[in-house]
Amino acid sequence: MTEPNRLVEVNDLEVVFDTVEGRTHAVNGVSFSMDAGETVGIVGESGCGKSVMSLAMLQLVPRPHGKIARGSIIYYQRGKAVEITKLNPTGKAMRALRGNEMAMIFQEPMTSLNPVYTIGEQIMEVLRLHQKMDNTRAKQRAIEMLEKVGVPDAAQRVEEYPHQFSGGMRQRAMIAMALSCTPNLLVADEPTTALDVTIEAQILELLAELQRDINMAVLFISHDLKVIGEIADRVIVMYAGWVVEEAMREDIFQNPQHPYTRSLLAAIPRIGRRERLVSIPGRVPSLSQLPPGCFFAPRCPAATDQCRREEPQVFTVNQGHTVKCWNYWDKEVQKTS
Amino acid sequence: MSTETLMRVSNLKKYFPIRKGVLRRVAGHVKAVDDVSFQIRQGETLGMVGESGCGKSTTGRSIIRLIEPTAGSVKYRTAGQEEEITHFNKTQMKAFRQRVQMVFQDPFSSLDPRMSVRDTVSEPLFVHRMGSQKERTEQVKELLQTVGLSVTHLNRFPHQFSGGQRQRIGIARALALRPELIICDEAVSALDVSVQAQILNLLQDLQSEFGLTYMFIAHDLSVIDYISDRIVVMYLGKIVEVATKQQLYDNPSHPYTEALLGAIPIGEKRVGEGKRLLLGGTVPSPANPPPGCTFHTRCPYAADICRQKEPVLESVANSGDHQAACHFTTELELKSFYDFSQVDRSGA
Amino acid sequence: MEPTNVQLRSDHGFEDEATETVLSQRTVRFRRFRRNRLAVAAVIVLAVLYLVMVAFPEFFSNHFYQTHHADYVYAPPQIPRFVDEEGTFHLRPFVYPITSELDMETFNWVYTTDTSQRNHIYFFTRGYSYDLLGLFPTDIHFFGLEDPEQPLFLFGTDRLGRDVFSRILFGGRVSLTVGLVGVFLTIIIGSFMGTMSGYFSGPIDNAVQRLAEVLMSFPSIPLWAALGAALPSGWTPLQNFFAISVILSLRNWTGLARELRGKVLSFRESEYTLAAKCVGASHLHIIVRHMIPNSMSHIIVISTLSIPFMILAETSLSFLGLGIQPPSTSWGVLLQAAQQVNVVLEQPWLLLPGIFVVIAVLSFNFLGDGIRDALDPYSS
Repeated sequence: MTEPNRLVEVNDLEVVFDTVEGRTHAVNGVSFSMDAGETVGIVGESGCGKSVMSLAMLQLVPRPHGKIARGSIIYYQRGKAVEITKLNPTGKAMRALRGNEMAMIFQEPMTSLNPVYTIGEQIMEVLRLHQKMDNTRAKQRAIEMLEKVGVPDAAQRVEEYPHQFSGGMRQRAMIAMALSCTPNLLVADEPTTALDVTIEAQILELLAELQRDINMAVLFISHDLKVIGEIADRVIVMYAGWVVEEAMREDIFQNPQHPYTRSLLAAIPRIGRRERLVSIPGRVPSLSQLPPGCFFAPRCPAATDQCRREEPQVFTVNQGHTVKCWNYWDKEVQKTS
Repeated sequence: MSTETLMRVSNLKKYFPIRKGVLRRVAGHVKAVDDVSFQIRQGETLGMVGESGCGKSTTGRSIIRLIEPTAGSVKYRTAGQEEEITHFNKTQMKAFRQRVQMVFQDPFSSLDPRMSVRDTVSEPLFVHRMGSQKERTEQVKELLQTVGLSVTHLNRFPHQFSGGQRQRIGIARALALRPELIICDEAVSALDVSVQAQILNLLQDLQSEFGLTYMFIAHDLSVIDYISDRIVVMYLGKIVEVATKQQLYDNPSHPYTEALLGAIPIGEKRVGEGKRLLLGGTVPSPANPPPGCTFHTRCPYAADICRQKEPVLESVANSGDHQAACHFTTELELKSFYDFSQVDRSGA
Repeated sequence: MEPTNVQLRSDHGFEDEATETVLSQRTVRFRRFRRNRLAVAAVIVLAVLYLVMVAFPEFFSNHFYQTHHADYVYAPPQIPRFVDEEGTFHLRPFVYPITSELDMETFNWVYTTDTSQRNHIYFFTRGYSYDLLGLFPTDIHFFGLEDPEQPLFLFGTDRLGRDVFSRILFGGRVSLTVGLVGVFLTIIIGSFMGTMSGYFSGPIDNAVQRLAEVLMSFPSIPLWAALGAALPSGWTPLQNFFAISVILSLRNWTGLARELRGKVLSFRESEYTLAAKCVGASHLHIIVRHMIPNSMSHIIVISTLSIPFMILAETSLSFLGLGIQPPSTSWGVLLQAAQQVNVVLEQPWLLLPGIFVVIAVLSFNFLGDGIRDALDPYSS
């Protein structure tokens, strides 16, 4: 039952890492889907697996310690289903997708820009590789792209090196590079976290604008619920490798069902609100030593014996809103049945 | 809260020389802090906010001479008398260190990885030769309980703790000498949201328990709003606005403050497209600040006078507590945070 | 400070420490080290070398290393066998006795093997008397022939008929310890200079760095030669030995000092240093309690990696006749005998000390790499 507009389907994905302390499950049975042109936000605290999730989308999980152990990621390339997890991460087919149809931007643009090449050369490289453009056309397109992302004097700055760009400008250059081949999917891993608040606002605005222009789907990963709320249509809340709640933005903010989502919302200081912040006791569990039952149970104010024993099922609240919590079952499902 | 001034900073400057060439000659200066004056009042929380590179951390470190200020005066009130810190000698400085402490940003680098919790928290006591080793251990145990850690943590090392726990250890160390003033330099910026709330609550409780005064440096306006009584906004080494929390968010008097308020993400759909104020451009280099008002390159309201004459920090109409450095404070009708955050909830 | 009695409100959230056990840093490092097979092998090899050569060379050698066997000059190695000429297997290893004869045409000693007789090798036999560890007089040896006067030269003999095997063991005692003593001095000088240089930048840093550069730009062999030649000839072998260690470390500290300077520079900028300053700590306190403990792992790695350099340097010096002087011996002194081409051609067993130099140097390198990777998996 494939939707015509479907772009990506992630099914029961599990990503594991082998470390000195043993095997850790960074992503633990995650399923979600994205439609073309949609913005999906993944939110969660450090160590919830959101960054690994974003790397897995492009088969970029660092080897040999990490690998996709289970599940599938299906990408619909012009209606044709491509099973990404089956592709060789360094093979031709994957490289043709990556950078061309799927692009990624990172938190720290300096790590993904090569300091010894000019910004222009790096954008041109992508274009030559994927679009087989010649030098003149590639350069023209690079300048066009830089103008599009709001780099002033693009024709001159295309000749400059990454260190000559400020943090915000570098992030713009990164976006220009990522979008130069008009990808269908952009994975953005904390793209504004390192930026100042005024620059962050600029970049968020820019992303939204470009997305409308080329009808690209964006998977936006952030630890900041408020930033996610500014940009995402749909929000996925992750905790210790699980998706604990998924819903449209309004539902997440107005009608959160999972105790973790609720606590997160109550823990954020909001301007003008004077009441004491609600904090979540304890800390995010270490992925190598997860508690039995629900991973959130040790910190959950509403945990029952069942929570401490059994992994919760995923329940549907209403269309497009799911929650992985036994309490929801107790409260709602039992009442009606 | 009394209105008595605990610390009075006047015309503080900190210039870092830029050295160039083989001979390392001074080619210019980065004006990290340029002529900054403000007061910290007894028992209050003074928030200091600004974007990266605005000099807020340098200010925080200069006023307690962790880095030596280039010029200016810092007066600290001890037993009803103001003393000039910048003239203190080594012994006076060491005594002064007991009164003012600091909590740092990075929970990973602010604790020595080779030192156990016991050694870290008792270090201030050891340095000031307070008590025997046994007495110091007892005090460390009390401090750990005060900040919400267990005494069983005593002999553990920093890597065995989470970011939030490390920050608690850092707070325990700062409390060890029973200071009056604690400077929190981005103390919760590196923490996860849920843990950030724990630390903010802890800091508030400690303040009421010990009658502490805080200077809270942060870039997150929501955090600043939550914890501060008064707020100082810095831009490019200068103070652009000083106000109480209420005044700042309801009635900003500097275009830069307005821009900051407009950029705060609120996590909800705003009414209309143009509701969000977007500031163009980026922060100029502090090595080469623009003439006149340093904000004129990005200011939507800039006029000719802004490019020529530097505005001074002046009281905003009939309020001694509210100051702004703008030529058009009285003329401009700036939007408040609430104007920016009108949300559309009809779609929900 | 009076007792603090804060009634904590519950929403500080005590972070529960009982929920998980964290592997101690030491355990993680040890596990990481153990996974490095080369490094573990190096540890075993070095343990054997130091046990046999430094601690008990008398016990493991069957001839005293300075005894001349006038009848057995340049004797080739006698290889222990289990199977005799007739093909019969013997449980106990044996060697065939050898007899020498001077070839009157070439003036070379020619050795003939007497296969009619088997000299069996026994373990824990009696041989020459010595003091075990310099304390307990005994004459028990690890192996030997029934008659200790009979020749058993596993690695052959040199031009004075001395047993090369024993000489390698006794030479190892000097060569392997000169590295340790030299490195100990290197650590002291290098740590002091490096920490001072990194912590107090400015004129002190400049002075130390320039001194290091000057020392490093001297060509090393002539420098050692000059210093070695300046040693008074009347010194005992022990004094000579220490003097050489000092000479080697006088130049070798520069590497450690430079590396430490970089580390200390970064530690100095860290927030915990700032925190220590903030509580009023003195420079001495910060150096002793923060800079040095944090540099310790670097010091260990760098020192391990510079032991082989010390061994090689001692070998080179002695090889040139500037280091350890006969009758004391070291691997370098032994290799001196293999300076001529015809020796290499006709008595190749005299090159055996070189193999031991290679083994020791490689082992220390592997060990150093292993420690470094275990301490800091992110540096490569």
